[in-house]
Amino acid sequence: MKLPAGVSSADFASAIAEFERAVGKAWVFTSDEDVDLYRDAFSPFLHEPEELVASAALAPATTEEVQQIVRIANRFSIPLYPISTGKNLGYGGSAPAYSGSVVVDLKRMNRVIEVNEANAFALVEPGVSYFDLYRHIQERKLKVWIDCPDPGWGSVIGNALDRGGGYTTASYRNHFDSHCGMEIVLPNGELLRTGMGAIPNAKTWQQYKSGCGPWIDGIFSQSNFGIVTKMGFWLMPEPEAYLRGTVSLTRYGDLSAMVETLNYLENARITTGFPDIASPLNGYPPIGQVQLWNETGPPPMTEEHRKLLSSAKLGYSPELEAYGLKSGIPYWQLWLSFHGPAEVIEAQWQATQRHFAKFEHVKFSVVDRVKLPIDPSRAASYHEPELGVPSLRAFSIGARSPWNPTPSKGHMWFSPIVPRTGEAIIEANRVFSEAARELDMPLFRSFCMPACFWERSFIFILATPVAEDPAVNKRYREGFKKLIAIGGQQGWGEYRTAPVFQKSVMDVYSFNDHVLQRFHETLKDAIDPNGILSPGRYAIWPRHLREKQS
Amino acid sequence: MNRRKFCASSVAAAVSAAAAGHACVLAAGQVIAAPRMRLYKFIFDERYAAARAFGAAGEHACSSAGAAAIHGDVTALWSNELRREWLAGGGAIAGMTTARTLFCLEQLAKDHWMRVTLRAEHAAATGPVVAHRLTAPEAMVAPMRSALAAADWPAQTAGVLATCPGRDGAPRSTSVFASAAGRRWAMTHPTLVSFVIA
Repeated sequence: MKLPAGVSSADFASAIAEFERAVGKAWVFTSDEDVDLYRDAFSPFLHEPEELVASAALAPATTEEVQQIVRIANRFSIPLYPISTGKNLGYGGSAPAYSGSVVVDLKRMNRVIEVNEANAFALVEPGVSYFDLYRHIQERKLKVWIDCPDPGWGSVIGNALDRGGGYTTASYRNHFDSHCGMEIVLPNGELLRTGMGAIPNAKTWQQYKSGCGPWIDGIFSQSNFGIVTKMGFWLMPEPEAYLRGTVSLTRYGDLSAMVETLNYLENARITTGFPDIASPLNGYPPIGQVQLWNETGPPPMTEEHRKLLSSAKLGYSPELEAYGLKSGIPYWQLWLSFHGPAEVIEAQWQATQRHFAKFEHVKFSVVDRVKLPIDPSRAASYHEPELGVPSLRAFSIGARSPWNPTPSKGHMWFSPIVPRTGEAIIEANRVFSEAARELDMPLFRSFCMPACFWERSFIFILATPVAEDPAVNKRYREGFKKLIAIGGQQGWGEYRTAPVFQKSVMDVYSFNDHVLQRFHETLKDAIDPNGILSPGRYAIWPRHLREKQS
Repeated sequence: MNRRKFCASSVAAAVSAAAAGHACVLAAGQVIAAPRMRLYKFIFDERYAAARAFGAAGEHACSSAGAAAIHGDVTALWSNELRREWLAGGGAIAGMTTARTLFCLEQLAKDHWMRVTLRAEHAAATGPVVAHRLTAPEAMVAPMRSALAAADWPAQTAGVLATCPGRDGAPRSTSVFASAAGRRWAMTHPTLVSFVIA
């Protein structure tokens, strides 16, 4: 067992005894075999002593038990690391940011407290997964949809607090933005409700977000200022129909205008579903097809095409473009989806085509026209999350297949946010491919396309593999940090990252001599003076550990 | 039922099942002294011949367990069956799938504080040779090695896994060995993994 630094064995044993009294002996885990379950399955420290590990784990069932845990931790200066379901793979999983922390596993707090169909919102506890909420809705035949990521085993609250995203319409894809109201156990054990929840007997906690006065919800995401024990979410009323179509363009030079057109259509709410950008000529699939490609392989490619690709620069050569025109392979392809009444989404699709008609050689195609709700057994024919259906199929990513004969032991997501322009796509490819080549990193080896989880920005989400060989992992970790810094020099920053990279990422957010970081630390010192909650999460260290870390 | 009560009662159930002559087929001459777990299901990936043979044998290996075929993805099996079984405090499983499928099952099992107690990877080696990497409690090493050396090793493996002891915290060791006896199962596809989750 790895004890928290500075905590004596006697104090730790006393704290464990108190935790057992608070949550019940059955829900305090101290054996190596049990604590091992909280290791990060994708740790970039595979086989290395620096792996971040917990000392013990607790599984409270109620908010009151969480309050007791926090009070005990204060008495014995025990660092805690709350997790919801611990499925944050690629971003740290269930392992703490500070070795020796006691994991507070909230998965037993798994009540769906309310799903309000009439006004489309839900109130849940942190142990509720997307599968749980989906099942709750299906069993009651409620006409609302969840928005879920890929895969759907994560916590609705956990993913929102880590600012994850999903695949339905713009209003719901940003999971933190679609929340409404929180309940939080503060580091001193007090219970706080935000927004309208601050009114005793509140009637609109899940219906009006900000309440009155400073709106503080944001400080409880990607942070260590409290343990969120309830959270409200706005849900999407079940749409009547779904349409998915593609817009195919033939010229490399179309990219910039294509993105501008997409931005207009999305910001004007004409296209509302998840816009999925592919480059068939560059062999880059839409996200919605990745699992299919993993299962059955990418479309066949001729030898001529392969040769042209290998000699293209930043995804372009005149010969490659000519080959695409000759072979009918689009340079760019937008997969656009629409949810709503059939007549409305047909009109939106028509308007979309009208706006793209200005492009020479543009082609439109309808991939799916679906009357909703679909039979759940048919959902697997689609990219399920775009229909609000959680799935585990994404875990074909990295699976061994004829197209991926040496799968990795996991991955670290490199995920910079860049402007939503065609120029930024090319510039990011230029900057990161040059840097990755120099650093011998397996990223941006071919032309990459960004994703559109959020409005008004692009995000690249690229997996850096975890290898068996510690020397390789060390090189990848160092390279990863350098890529973060190089992105920062361009004005780009990561949206989320694993604990091992959180300092590097936050160092990029350095405007005015790191005033943001200093502000976080000021808050930490005021809210959590004993520094018991998630020390080091997103590089926010309590005062007594701050100097040691720097 | 809390987690500890569940652990205690499942061990008790396994012991009483064994005492009652609970029928799990073991390869001839193999004896395992530790109390066996109560297996709920044999899971196999129907895309692979070796896994199909494992599933077919599993169906007959243990009277308490059925077999379930998957096609790579475990979403439906987990949603419709395993989740309920695990919530009820039971549901030890044995299987032969791809490593990624096992990874999914392992992550889902963690939600119930269950874990992989035995793991055997079967990978292509030279020619018809299959390389096996076994991580198992000491009591299971000899029977597994014997099963994996057999011509019909997928079926034999199912028989041995049906006799795996319950989760007892016993230390596990890893060994690597190769066998050409089962040449008709030479791995031309992804590495398959046999496992027990309890």
